[in-house]
Amino acid sequence: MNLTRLIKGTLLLLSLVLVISGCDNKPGDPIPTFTLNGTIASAVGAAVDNDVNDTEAPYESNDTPATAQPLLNPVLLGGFVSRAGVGNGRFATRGDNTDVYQATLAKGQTVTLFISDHDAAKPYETDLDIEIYNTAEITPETRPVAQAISATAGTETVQIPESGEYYLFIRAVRGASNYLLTIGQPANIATTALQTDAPFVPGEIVVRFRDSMAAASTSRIFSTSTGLVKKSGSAGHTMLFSLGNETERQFTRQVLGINLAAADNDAIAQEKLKQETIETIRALRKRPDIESADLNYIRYPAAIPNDQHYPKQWNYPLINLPQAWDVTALPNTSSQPVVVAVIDTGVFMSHPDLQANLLSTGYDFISNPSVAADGDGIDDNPDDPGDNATPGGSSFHGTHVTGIIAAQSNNSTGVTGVTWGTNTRILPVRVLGRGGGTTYDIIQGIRYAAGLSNDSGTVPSQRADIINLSLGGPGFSMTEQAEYNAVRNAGVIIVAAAGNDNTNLPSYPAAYDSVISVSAVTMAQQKAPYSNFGPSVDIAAPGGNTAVDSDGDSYYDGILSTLADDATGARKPIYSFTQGTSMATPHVAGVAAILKSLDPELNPDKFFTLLQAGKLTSDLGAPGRDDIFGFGLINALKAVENINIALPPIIAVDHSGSLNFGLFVKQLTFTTRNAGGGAFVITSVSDDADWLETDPRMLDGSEGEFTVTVNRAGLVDGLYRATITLETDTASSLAIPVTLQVGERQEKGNTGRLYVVLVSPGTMETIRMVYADNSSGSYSFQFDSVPEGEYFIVAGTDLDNDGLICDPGEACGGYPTIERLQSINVYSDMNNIDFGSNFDIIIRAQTNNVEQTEIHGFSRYPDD
Amino acid sequence: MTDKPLSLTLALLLLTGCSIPGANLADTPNTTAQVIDSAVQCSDPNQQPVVFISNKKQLKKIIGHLQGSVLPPPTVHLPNIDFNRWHVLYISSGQQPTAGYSLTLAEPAFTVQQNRALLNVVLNRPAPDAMVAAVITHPCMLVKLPKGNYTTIEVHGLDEVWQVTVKKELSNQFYY
Repeated sequence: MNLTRLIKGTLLLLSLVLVISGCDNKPGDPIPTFTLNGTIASAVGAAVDNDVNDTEAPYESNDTPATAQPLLNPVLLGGFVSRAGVGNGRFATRGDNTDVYQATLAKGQTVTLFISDHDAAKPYETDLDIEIYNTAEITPETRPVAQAISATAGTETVQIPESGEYYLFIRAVRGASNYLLTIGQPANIATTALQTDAPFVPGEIVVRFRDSMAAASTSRIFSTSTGLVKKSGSAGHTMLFSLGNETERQFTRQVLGINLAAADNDAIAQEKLKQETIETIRALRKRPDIESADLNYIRYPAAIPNDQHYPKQWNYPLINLPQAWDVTALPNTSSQPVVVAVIDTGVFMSHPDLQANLLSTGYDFISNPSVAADGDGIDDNPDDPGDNATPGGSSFHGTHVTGIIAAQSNNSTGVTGVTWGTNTRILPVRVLGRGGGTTYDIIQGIRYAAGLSNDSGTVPSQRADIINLSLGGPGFSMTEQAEYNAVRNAGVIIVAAAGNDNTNLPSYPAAYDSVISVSAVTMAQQKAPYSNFGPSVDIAAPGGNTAVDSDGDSYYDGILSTLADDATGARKPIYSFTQGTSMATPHVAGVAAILKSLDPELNPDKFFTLLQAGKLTSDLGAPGRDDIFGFGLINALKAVENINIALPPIIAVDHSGSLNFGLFVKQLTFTTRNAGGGAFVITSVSDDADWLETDPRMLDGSEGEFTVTVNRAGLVDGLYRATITLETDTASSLAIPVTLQVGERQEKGNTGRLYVVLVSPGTMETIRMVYADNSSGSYSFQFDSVPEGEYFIVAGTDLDNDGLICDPGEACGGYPTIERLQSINVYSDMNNIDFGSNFDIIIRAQTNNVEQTEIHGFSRYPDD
Repeated sequence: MTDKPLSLTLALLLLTGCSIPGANLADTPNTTAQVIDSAVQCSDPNQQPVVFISNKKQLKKIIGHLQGSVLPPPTVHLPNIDFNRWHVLYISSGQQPTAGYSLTLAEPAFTVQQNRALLNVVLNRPAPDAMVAAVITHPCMLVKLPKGNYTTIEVHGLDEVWQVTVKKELSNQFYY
């Protein structure tokens, strides 16, 4: 959500109240005037494009590598680019097609471009791309070393392949837009292209020798000299070797220089063997006689159901479901079903592709009969009569969600459900009707599903193991939080939709503790344009994007599932492509049900532990947890392979997996914990740089708190990298990458020319404006001859020259803060009105209320 | 763009009892504009919000949007419209973030001022505090307007005001 819209929407009511309260100015009285001054601090690490569209801002071209604008690292930069002939301002005619920046970047570091004017509803109108070039190889024919060129995405992200000096090209492909460019935390450094997340045979290595003619003798010598045991293959072809017995393995480790201790207990022996296999391959790849050495990956036959529309369900291969269906050794007909409660609009109970998997113990908790539209309040019938009085206007949302989890599969008709082959049943609980629902009714629904007391006076014969909530709304409630805690404490795994506003504002219940929040990705495994993000997101799953047909199958890339059509009055079973975090959520609920069928002991704590340990997901975005994908994209195969394995001790840290000190930070801290089973003790902490000092402030077994201090004295300008290594007695060691930059110490940033305005709280009109330019990281401003009265003070840039400050992508600040503006009552001279300005990384939201659609930023010039 | 806080201005004018210059409240409402069909999951991601339809061929081309993207493909029944008497508009609100959105006609829906026809639509929204299904919706509707002595049609009530020129059919144009 656009921050200024939110603020001004909130202020609208206040403004009206002030107007209604009336003014009592006496005509003819002279109005005294006063002087106001203060300082605006620019956020540390902020920077601004040298050639923005604002005709009154300083100008310096950065259109070519020869005029590239130097950037510090890390940085948050606001900028503007446009095609010729689009918009107004400095570039109205010729456009500002390209901005070029120059920066020193570390391998694995992420560069992200947020396109401020991207509109998810009209994704093709504005398109900005990012391309990265090595500064040493820049000619018209040079290919970028990395690029992100989606035609419709609101956010473009690239990862830097090698450390070095780079040009960053921001190009306007269509339209005109402000943008924010961030150079953030470096990723963990991958030292090999081995897909160690993929399943492979521990202890086995696939090898090809460089000299095929001499391969026969070479392989014999190779075996003798390395201790590796030939298992199969012949001279001149791909050969399979194994690590052999412990004696042979010890010999291999010695001759190849692999520094791994032997496994000292059975619980971690398999993990150690996997690690040793990987390390052995890395060592072999350095040998001149080896053309290639790889893991012996396990490939599954991948079960394919015969449902008619399964080929259109691209979302299942995306999360490795077919391979997971193989692993689960289908079919499974255990007598005790796994129960997934779908708390939603109810379910079209007669849908032929659902009927067999629906429990008869569902319930309708809509207490308002006019909302329920079924003639009464709560009752024991969760059948969905529709949520719209107009024929054809109902969503039948719960039916769609249910089909994703448990459509009857391999029945030659319709679609396939995630839980194919497991004995999973749906408990339909109706809480949403015409116009939506209430938190109270939903609370009754989740309590019923969990087997807790509720307004129905009854509980289901078998409570839910998993609750799916593809719904949400704004507003935190302590009461509601407590209810979700109670349901989780009852042993129920709760998953909920993160929301579709393309914002980092929380949506509830997804943002509650105890609830797994699910964001949505597209077929390209990118953030869906609408998906919410932010600190509450735990996991991502396919939610679809019906604006594109990426695979050219003549269907937009929505999620296909069961639905009802009541256009003719009576409900008919159909199938429909739709999109939303509503659709992503049941993928996670379904995989949770598969896991529960394999491990009856699975509970919320274990699920969370596996999730946090990366056992259920393929990591996307920044390494480890991030705000867009949480712990990553749900990976059904990986999940089922990990579910029955007793977790070994796993050392985990409480941050993104790396430490970036940038140019000016001197000290950072991190803490450790055991994310697995058993126990371990941290036995040593070391680093490999003279400029780095790691101090364990507190250390108790696996739990530690560490202070990391850097010393830039004596270091020449440049980018420095190091690694902090934590060794343990039983868990794997942990390497934490550290990045440090030495150079010009620009401890305070520059958000560009600011327009500081006095705004009338009564009319929200701009009364006065003064310019303020950056000086050593701060801005001084002064208003003279200000009439007595009440004012808001706001400051911001107008990069796109639309006459409004604080637009998306523009710097913004206000007194005392922009989030909580307070009016000042001017009746004397006032000094030291100080506040800060910064860019806010909020992607343009789809508008969803009147106030937000009508109000944009603050006027830069005084209103007439 | 230079959007103004129009709603605030209007609210203040109403509170102070002032009239709006130029507003002609005496225009005769013509309520014969009618919704032919509407839906909330239309499948027109790249379609303009307002499309002028002047014949059966055009209607046949666009009416499938109202069926959404469903399987099996529905049988499309063309409404029986006398294009000698009626203009037809396809109106879409674009994508909305949740369930609970729909398009209807306002009251009065249709007025004619000189040679301009004004059509007022309403994008109904869920209550701000309602809990709603987190599915993207895409409301749209087909509306028929009686032909008359006007050359342009303005559609009010969407995010922007849209204008279509009756003489130059299909030459839809962004207005402001």
